[in-house]
Parts: sequence; structure tokens; C-alpha cells
Amino acid sequence: MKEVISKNEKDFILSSIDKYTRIDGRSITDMRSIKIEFGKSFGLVEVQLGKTRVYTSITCDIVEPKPERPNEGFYVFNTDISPMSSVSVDPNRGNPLENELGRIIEKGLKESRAIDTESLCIISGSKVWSIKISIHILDDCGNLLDCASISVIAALLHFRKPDVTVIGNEATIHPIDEREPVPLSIHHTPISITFGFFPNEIMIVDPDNKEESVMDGKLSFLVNIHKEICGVSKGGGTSTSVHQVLKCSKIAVIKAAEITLQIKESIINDIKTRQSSINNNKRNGSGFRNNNSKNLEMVEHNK
Amino acid sequence: MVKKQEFRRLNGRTQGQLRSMESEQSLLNKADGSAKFSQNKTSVLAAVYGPIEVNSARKEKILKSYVEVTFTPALGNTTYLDKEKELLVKNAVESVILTTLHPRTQVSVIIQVYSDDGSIVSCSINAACLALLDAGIEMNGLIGSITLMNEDDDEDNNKCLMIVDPDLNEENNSKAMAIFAFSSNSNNIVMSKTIGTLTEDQYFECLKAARGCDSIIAYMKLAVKNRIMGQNN
Repeated sequence: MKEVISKNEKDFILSSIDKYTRIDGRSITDMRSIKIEFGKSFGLVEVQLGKTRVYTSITCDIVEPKPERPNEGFYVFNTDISPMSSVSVDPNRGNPLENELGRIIEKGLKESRAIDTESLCIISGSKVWSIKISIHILDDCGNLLDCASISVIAALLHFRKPDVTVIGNEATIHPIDEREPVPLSIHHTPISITFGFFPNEIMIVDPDNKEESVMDGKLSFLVNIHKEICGVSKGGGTSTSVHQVLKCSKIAVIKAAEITLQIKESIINDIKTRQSSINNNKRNGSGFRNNNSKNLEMVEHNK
Repeated sequence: MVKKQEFRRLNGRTQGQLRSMESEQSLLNKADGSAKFSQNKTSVLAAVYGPIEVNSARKEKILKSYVEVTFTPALGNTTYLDKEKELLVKNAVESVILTTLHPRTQVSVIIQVYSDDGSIVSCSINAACLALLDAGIEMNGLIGSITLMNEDDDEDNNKCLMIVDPDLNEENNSKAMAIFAFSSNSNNIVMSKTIGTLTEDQYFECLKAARGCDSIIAYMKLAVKNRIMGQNN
């Protein structure tokens, strides 16, 4: 998937990074701007990190649990690098990057216990929720992992599943327009921050596609807002000193906190606009119920 | 489901009323052309690469360019149903693209569904047309598509209610569905697909109603005009 660039351009990027400047004018510890947009239903999120664009959609189903784990639901991740993201993607062939990307995000969430499958149980042994998360890479302009990780977190926080009442062995599912849907239980939000390494022990945050094609190696940290490292991924590349890795982790902690706040803010804003549009509809006399009144409190509670 | 007396549908639209359309062009950076087309909750993103090198020699055509359409649903993997939609979109757009201009090349159209709330094939064709325009692929006209539906009615089979641009709720209650695509230059049908049973009369009735919906092509012209004028300013 590496982009082919000319030798002159490569030399230019390297020489400017040697002077601690980058071709798009960022400083070496700056991320590109993040834009989060929500779809018309819950759990549809499009995130832009600079020009990189990732769309994540979440839906839920009720399924039967595995017999050996009767009270655990499922989180199913599906990563798709769309052929529209770059000319070099062949739709008829599997892409190894696809699996790598999905696995890092999935492991980061599951193994740090950010999402737990036990909270998805409705009736032990017969009915559990299965949450399907589809990650679509739409535009590949570098640092797919960070962009995908932000969009997954935003989608998980934004998603609401229908409310269920259980009496004995009977479960009633209340459709979204009948009763307030409930958010997923997300304990914390590990966000990936990627560093690119260059000669002379220089490292940059959030490499774009041109920088990715000339850098020596990269390192991704999955960090949550409590300053805990939930995963580190360094897939080959140049060897890095311990000192440098520690420096990266410190930067990652700060960046992840900033991004987490931005995601939460945008979700609160989105729910506010939803609420006001529903209120407007109510005033105009159409038959909408004001069923979003409690959402805002729930999001704040998640913090 | 539909209150017959007032001809109002459950979603508040009248029989022949389309959903409000929205579009955005050139939103992707890597693709040669891209467009997002939404009809209320149905939303589709289309991207076009072309003319590019054919990715497998087997598909190369000596006299014209090969049109490839990839359709990805919002959730999960592509199934045989998506392959069918792929083919419908391909047949429709292939008829307006001037494929003979660039022999031994490929034009890739990639459709990504954002959310599906009915009439997804029509929405995909409309998005693909806007994306092709954005990519500057030579075409002999615009292409607009519309879905019509005959409602399932237990009481009276002959008086089925025909509605335009159904949403998912209505599609689930359909007796028959008809998808049409029209080309703007000759105003001829380029694609027609029916699902379910409908009588000959009903088919022509649908066709007549579909003809009245050139507002889609008018909308596309306006969208492209707005974008180009905006660029000049």
C-alpha cells in the first residue's frame, strides 16, 4: 500500500524533518485536525483525521450465546479497506493490513476490558446481544489506525441499543421509538496514537501518507484518559531506544486525553441537536415523542 | 399501513412524493471523483477511479474500457444480494459512459452504503452518476434512477397502491417493486428491474409515474452547477 514518491520529494521530506519541520506545516508533535460527524441513526460515525476518512457503523442483534460461555455476548469487529481509499487496493484480493488494523483495535478494547461481553447478556444461556462493528476505510491519507480507533470509540459511545425488560424467562424488547434506548457500557476509551521514526532519533506524531512512505518505522500506543497504556504495537521497522519509547508514551498520554475530550464533546453536541430537533417537531405537531430527554445525562455519566 | 382515504403514507409523504435529496461532491482526496447522495436516511458514498490500468489482464477489453462496480454494504461482508446490486449499477452506468474513448483501461466505481433505508439501488446509481461527473469521465448523458413500489393489499388485488421512493418499512410490505434508470439525453430507459409480481398495466403505470420524476436529474444538474459556480467564485 506504500505510495510511490520521487527521490527529490523523499529527500525534501527527510531534510525538513531533520530541521523539525513538516511538509504540511505542522510541528513534529502536532496531530492533524479531527472532524467527527454523526449519521441520522445511532452508531453511525464518520471521522476525518486531516484528509484520512473512516466510517464506522454499529448495529445490534439478539443471538444465542456459546454453550461454554452462557452469559457472554459478542462484539464482532469487521474491518474493510474500501477500494475507494486508494488505487492500489484490489477489491478481489484480501488485504493483510485490514486484519492487522482490526486486530489492534479489537485487542486494545477487549483485553484492556474497556468493553465487556458479560454486560451484553439478556437471559443466561439463551439470549445475548451481538454488537457488530463495521469499520470502513474510505480515504487513505496516512495513519489509518489512529483515525479508525477514534471512529470506533466515537461510534461505541454514540450507539444506543433498544431497552429490554426481563421477567423470569421472558424478555421484551422495546423498539427505539417506544422507549429510551440504552447506551453500551464502555468502561474507558483506549485511543491509538501513532509515531513515525526518522533518522537521528527524530519522531513525529500522526504521520501522513507521504511521511509514512519515507519513515523508518512506526509505533502505536493505545492510551486511555486515565493515563493507562492499553496496548503498544510496533510492527518491525527501525530499532528504537527505550528512552525514545518513554518519550512517545508521555506524548501519547497527552494527545489521547485531548482526543477523548473532543469525542465526548462532539457526542454531547450531537445529542443536544437531536433533542432540540425532536422538540421542534413536537412543537410543530408531528407525532414524535420526546424520547431523547435522558440521553444527555447518560453521556455525562459515562465520563 | 397506508390510510387510503387521504393518500398519505405512514411517513407523512404523499403517493408520488420523493424524499428530500442531499449531495456532496469531491469529498474524498484520493479518488478521482466522489459524491455522497442521500435521500433522507438512505445515504450512499460513491467514488470513481478512471481511466486507470486494468487490474487483471483477463478483464482488459481491446476496444473499450472495462467498467468495474464494487458495492459494499454498511454492515458485514458482501453477499450474493450485494453482487446483484453491483450488477444493476454496472449495467446502468455502463450505458452512459463513453467506454470506446479509452480502450484497454478500466473505470472503477466503488459504492459504499452509509445507511440503508430503502431504494438503495436507485440511490447508488444516482451517487455513481454524480461521482462519474466529478471524476470527469466522458458520458453521453446523465443518469437518474427511481424506485417504485406496489403495496401489498389483501382485500383488493386490482387496486394496489403505487408509491414512489419507498423507505425500508414500506419495502418490507411490498407486493412488487420496480427500479428504473433513465438517461437524460434521450430520456430512454437504460435499466429496468422488477421484483415480485405485477400486472402489465401496473408496470406501465409505474413507468409513467417514474417518467414524471425527472426532478432527480434536474437536481443533479443543479448540484453540479452549484459546485462549479462555487469553484469560480
